[in-house]
Amino acid sequence: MNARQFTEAMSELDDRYVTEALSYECPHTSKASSKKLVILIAAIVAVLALCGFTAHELGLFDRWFQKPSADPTQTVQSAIEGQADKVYTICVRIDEIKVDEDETARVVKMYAGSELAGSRGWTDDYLSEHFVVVLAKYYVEYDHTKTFLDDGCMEQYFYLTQDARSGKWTIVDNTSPSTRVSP
Amino acid sequence: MIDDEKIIELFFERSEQAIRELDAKYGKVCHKLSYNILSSRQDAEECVNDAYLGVWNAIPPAKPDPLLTYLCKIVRNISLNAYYRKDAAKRSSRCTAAMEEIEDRIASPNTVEAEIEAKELSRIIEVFLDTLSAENRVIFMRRYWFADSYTDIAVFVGLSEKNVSVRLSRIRRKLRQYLIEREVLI
Repeated sequence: MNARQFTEAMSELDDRYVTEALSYECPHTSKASSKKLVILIAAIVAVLALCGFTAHELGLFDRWFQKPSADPTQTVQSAIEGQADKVYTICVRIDEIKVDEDETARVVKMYAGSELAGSRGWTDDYLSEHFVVVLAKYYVEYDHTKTFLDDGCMEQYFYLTQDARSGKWTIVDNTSPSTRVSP
Repeated sequence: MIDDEKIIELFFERSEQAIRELDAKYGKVCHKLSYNILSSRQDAEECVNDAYLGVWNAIPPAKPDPLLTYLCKIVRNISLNAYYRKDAAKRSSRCTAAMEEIEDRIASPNTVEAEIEAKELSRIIEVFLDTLSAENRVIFMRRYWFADSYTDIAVFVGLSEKNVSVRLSRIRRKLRQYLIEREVLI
């Protein structure tokens, strides 16, 4: 027998074999697609986890490695010192940290009755008793191959709120650091 | 896309729209089948057009169901005729590859098949096909009827190319054994 005879015999096959081969619905497709989908999702999750880990390592989630304290200046100090733990920080030196009463009054007045305060659940009473602005003056040097942040002598305001139960202060916001003339 | 019954109605009405609808619905399948055999876009195009003409001449009175199977058989026959009209040296297609691999299994110097009619051989092959699982039967048909590549078959049945290759090899071996048992090959 040769291939031609075989091919001619194939031409004589009953239509049902051709129809079956035309209309066959693959039972593997959904399984294969599902498998590919699972692999794709797993790959995406892995990439996101890696990005998350990297971001965490770079300190991108919590800008401040703060330790809430009963003393707002201590909280700010821990946060600034926490900068030393970040991979892009070469050194940090704190020159002065103090509660700025005037700035506190100004910001409380600004926040009072505002939508922003409302959205954060800050009533006027809460702001008057549990909100302070701390001024920090510090010197910092960054590795500019790893961050775009400016370094040098910095002056920065930190906004803190106090947890009514624990009495500890937490940084909720801050101004951008501004360079100042070295003391 | 309109259904087959409507297309057949158009043929019965002798409307040329029937050809356009047929091409829109099944043109791609037909071109692929013809191209697999001829490995030439131009030749495939001609064969498919000839097949459409064949369908035009056959319907009516024919009322094929399913229409695609009917159409594919015409396309395949016309394409195979065109294939055999080519010089042997110019034949190079998926069909050639499929023929060569099956010939490796069925070629035998001592055969009685010369006396076997194509119809009789096809009945034997049909019985053999019925011994296969639906999946293996489809793989076999896609390779030796449609002349699909291993890659195309793998996609079609949702298996790896390697798996398809292994299965086809086993089916060919099984077919040879079957033909020997039926004394088609000695």
